[in-house]
Amino acid sequence: MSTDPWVWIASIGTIGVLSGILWKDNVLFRTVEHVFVGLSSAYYVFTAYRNLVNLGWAPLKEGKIILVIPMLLGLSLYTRFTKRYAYLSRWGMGFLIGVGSGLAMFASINAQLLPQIRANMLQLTSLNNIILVLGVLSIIVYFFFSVEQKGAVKHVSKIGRYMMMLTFGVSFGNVVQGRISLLLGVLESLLGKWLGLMS
Amino acid sequence: MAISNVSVAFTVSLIFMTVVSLYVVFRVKNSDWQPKIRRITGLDHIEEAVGRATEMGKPVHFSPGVHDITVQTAPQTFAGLAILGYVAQLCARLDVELICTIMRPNVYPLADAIVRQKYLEEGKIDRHTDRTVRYLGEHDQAYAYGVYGIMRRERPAANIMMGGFDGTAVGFAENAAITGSISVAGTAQLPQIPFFVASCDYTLIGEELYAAGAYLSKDRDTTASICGQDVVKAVVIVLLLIGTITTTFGSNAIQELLLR
Repeated sequence: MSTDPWVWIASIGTIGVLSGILWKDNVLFRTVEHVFVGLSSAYYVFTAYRNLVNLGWAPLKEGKIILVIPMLLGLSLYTRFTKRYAYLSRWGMGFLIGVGSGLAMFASINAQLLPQIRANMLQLTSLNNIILVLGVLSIIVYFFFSVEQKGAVKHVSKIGRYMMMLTFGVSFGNVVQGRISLLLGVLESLLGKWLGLMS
Repeated sequence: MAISNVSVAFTVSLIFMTVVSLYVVFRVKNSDWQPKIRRITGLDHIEEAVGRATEMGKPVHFSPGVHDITVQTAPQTFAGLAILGYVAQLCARLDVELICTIMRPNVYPLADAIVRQKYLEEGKIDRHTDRTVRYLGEHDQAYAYGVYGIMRRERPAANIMMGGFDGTAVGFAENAAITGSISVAGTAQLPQIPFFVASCDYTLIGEELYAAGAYLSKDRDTTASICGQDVVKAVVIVLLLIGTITTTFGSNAIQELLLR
């Protein structure tokens, strides 16, 4: 059996979480849950503070005046706590949303749309390629929202639905296999590192 | 890839999609034509789920996902927040307690403002408390355990999850099923969709999540933008067909065009 206190803490924490999920809500699960939520919040508060100092305040003191703008935008988020200046928080929030939307648009076209169109322009000389191209086309038809699904559209979109379900099945199997290896890692840690039952 | 290195194909695609979407929106605005969106089955069951919670006198749990609003998957979070507005309005109208759990600090003020606004519109602001929208920590495991705990202790009758989700989300649906809650979920995260399909009662698949906001709001402009996206999809189908035929006959002209 381990004499390392960290192994004990990790093991009891693991058992606590598993007890809440596999059995029912209990004192150990609640303790682990609250400790985890509290610790993660504290960790991110500290990380945010460190980022503010290292990436904001320190370069600002060295003369990077431009950093005043993001700092002011960041500070504006706190104005929502006052009724009078709450409207200022929309500036910071608007900036964040704008950045998110811009990144999403750029990445969707560059990393998903164009490469996927290119990758699906295949020679229809094998059964695999024919299934792949027909599958992609029928799935796109499934995602037409302004067209009523009846007649030919209904049949094509049904093929698209079946293609997706097949893909989901394969993906499900792959991920479950990955999760089993994670479970084995946890069991190895509990039975080996903690209890010393495995070499 | 840096913004300065964008390809011609990217620029043309971006301009094309923007112009088509705006054209359809303006066309709809200046005409009597009312665009329609086909029925999205999963969304119809949100009302059923909230109604069930009303009958049982139990709360509704809502999660807008675990992704931030400053990343590539931000649109999923925005779609989740749009559905949150609808759910909050239903909860306020039917006097059902809403528990909205949040993982990202940036999402918290948006979710809180949306819920507060909907409670105000329904004249039930007194039912909106500090416990309605709850921040559970910016760590996926911490957030997951927080949600598991809420499921076990407060036993919501309906569990609605709309947004970007990762591996831990299957536990939300699993705990919801154990506590007898009905689950309606939607995400565009490909690895997560199979788990939602397997563990939830109703699932929105991929882009259905984005169309959900327009479907629920019935707003003409939003619905028109969905029609604009359908035009872009039709163009993609035509491009794919032409590209496949030309490739089959030995020409890579279309593929090379997309690489420029």
